[in-house]
Amino acid sequence: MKFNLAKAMVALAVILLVTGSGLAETKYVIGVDGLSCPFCAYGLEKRLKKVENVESISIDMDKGQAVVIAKPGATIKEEDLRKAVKKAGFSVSALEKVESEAKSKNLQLRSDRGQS
Amino acid sequence: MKQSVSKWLVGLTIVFPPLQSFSYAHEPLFMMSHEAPGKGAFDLHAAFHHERHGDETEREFASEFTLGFTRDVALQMSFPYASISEDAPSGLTSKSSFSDPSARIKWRFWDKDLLGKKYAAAFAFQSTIPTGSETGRKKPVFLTGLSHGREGLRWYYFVDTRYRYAVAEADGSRPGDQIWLDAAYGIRPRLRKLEETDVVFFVEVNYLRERPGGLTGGAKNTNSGGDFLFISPEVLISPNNRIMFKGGVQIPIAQSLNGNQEKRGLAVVVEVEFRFGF
Repeated sequence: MKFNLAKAMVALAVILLVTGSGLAETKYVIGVDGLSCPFCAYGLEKRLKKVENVESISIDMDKGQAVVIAKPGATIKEEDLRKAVKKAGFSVSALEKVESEAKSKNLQLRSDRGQS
Repeated sequence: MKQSVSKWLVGLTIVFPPLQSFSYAHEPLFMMSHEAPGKGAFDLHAAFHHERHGDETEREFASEFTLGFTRDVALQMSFPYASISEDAPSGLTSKSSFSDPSARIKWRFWDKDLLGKKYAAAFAFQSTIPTGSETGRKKPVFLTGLSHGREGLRWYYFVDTRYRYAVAEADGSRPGDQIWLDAAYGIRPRLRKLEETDVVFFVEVNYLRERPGGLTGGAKNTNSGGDFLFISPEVLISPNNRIMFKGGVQIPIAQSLNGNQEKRGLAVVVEVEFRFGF
């Protein structure tokens, strides 16, 4: 009986994690033109950090990309991101919102490992 | 003969332009260029400049600030402390004091952003604020220029033209007008990640045409001015993306001097730049 209860709880946890939209990560991939040196990228980093609901930022110089991750459960106004890039002295070539399920999958994997 | 020596010395003591380099980020050290720091930016520079002209040596320490008013408009201020020594026939003389501060406004009026590179052009206007101090002047010196360039992940180029005009002092003396034509090429041997040490090498070619200045009483100083060609190797090192060390030497490679003058020597700039706000 105890064994069945444990199984049922694990199954419930997995269902909650898979369907739980609150844990999904929202990130914004910004194509930034004019980004030509790490020193210049500092301004962009600082500007983007000031945008409301920004959790973290990573900048890839080679790809000319800034990836902005929103705070859990929050979204960021795309217009604010565009303004921040412009004020820092660069241009936005593309802006894509990506809903990532990375956290959910991670937790699901951990849960699966717990069963074995 | 004595009179010509004294004229020569007067010429020397007034020929030095304001030494502030005002270089920002990856701009070359001896010329004017187009970079703008972005809205709300605040940079602090500490600069050392050494220049030798004949028997006269000038050393200057300056605190410089860069403020980004808008995306494309920046104000730069410089507060120098200067030391001038002169190995004159009558013996070594020297003077040192806070010198004239300078303010420069730069407007990047055009830019084109592409993946990993930026093309831009800017206009700049600079004026000294005369203090009448021992190493300063009682009248302002103006500098204006146009610059254009390309910054890229791998390489850079910059070109500019500058014109310097110094208002005559009450006694009529003034340094000669200067017209500069400059070009620079820069290369980043290896592209680093954001927090890694970044190194960029530059070489500048600077051409200067200096008109004769004015002596006390307003007479033309025929022993001043000429044509000069310099080559200036430089290195810019940023251990992370908030601090940059810069150093460069301006080497005269050809000089055609008016009248009886000593040749120009080396000029050296060493600078550290800190990035603060945004």
